[in-house]
Amino acid sequence: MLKIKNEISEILENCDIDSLIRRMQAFTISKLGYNKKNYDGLEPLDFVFGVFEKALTGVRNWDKSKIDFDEFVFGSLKSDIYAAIEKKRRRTEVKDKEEIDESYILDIHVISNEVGFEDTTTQKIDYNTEKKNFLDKLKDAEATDIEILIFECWCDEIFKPQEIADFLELDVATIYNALKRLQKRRKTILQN
Amino acid sequence: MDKLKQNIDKGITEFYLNLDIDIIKKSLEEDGVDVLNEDEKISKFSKRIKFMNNAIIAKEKTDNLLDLIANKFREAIDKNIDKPIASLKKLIEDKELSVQFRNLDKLTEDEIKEIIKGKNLVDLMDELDKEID
Repeated sequence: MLKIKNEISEILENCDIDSLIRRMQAFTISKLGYNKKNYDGLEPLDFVFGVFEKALTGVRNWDKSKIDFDEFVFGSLKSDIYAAIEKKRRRTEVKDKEEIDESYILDIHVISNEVGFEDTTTQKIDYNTEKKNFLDKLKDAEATDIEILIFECWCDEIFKPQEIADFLELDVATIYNALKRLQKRRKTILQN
Repeated sequence: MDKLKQNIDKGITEFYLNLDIDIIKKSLEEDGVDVLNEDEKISKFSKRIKFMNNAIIAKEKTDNLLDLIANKFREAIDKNIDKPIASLKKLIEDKELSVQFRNLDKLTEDEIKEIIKGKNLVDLMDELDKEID
């Protein structure tokens, strides 16, 4: 029987697991694609089930004071996506740039002992310079106005989809479609 | 992770965490996912998780009740309160437990739990409350 940790057990009573799984699945596919070979032959959904179960059993520590349960599960998911990419990289020497978002390695928040771990060891690069550089690259890659505006919202720490949609006076679905294009464009930029 | 990458990561994550679930499903369909078929699979998975979770919660409640009742019997033995002691002796007899259970003063908490296991714990608790208070 699955040994669910006590503090998680309380949360699960009122958790919409079905929706959370769908959110995890969409995130996973945006990072690893839809090809089974990127999931050790599993369906992406089975990969997500495995991550979810692992998160429940306390393989990773959840600091309730820092992040909520959904964020904790997503932290575990990111870590497992990173591990899947690393595993594939070790197994196949040839990079399959078409299907794997290897650029994700560059920005993944690797979980150390607990989700919420803050890595302060990396060298700080001037934020504004880096922002300007990336903005230039986006423009060079012919990003649309909406994609650029989403990026600028993130830089100004506007993160919630609805807030971005309200700010840009567009519907959320339009913003989400632009986000998916932005993710792909960013992948290409980071790979070049 | 530097601040820009952290902001981008947070921005992307917030979308997947907060977006209307129907938009997420529609997008999955566009990615080639058979959403309708998978809904059933996800439903079975979440039911299994909830079932196991309920079992854990139920076990936790039973364990707490066992602790409470064992403490009540211990209190009754220490204070030499007749009725609960008689009830405990009766339970020991009914279960035909070994001689180690006959000396009430030396009963450990675990031994008391062993004696009351399998009984209706809620009824037992009610009885004890009436007999001790």
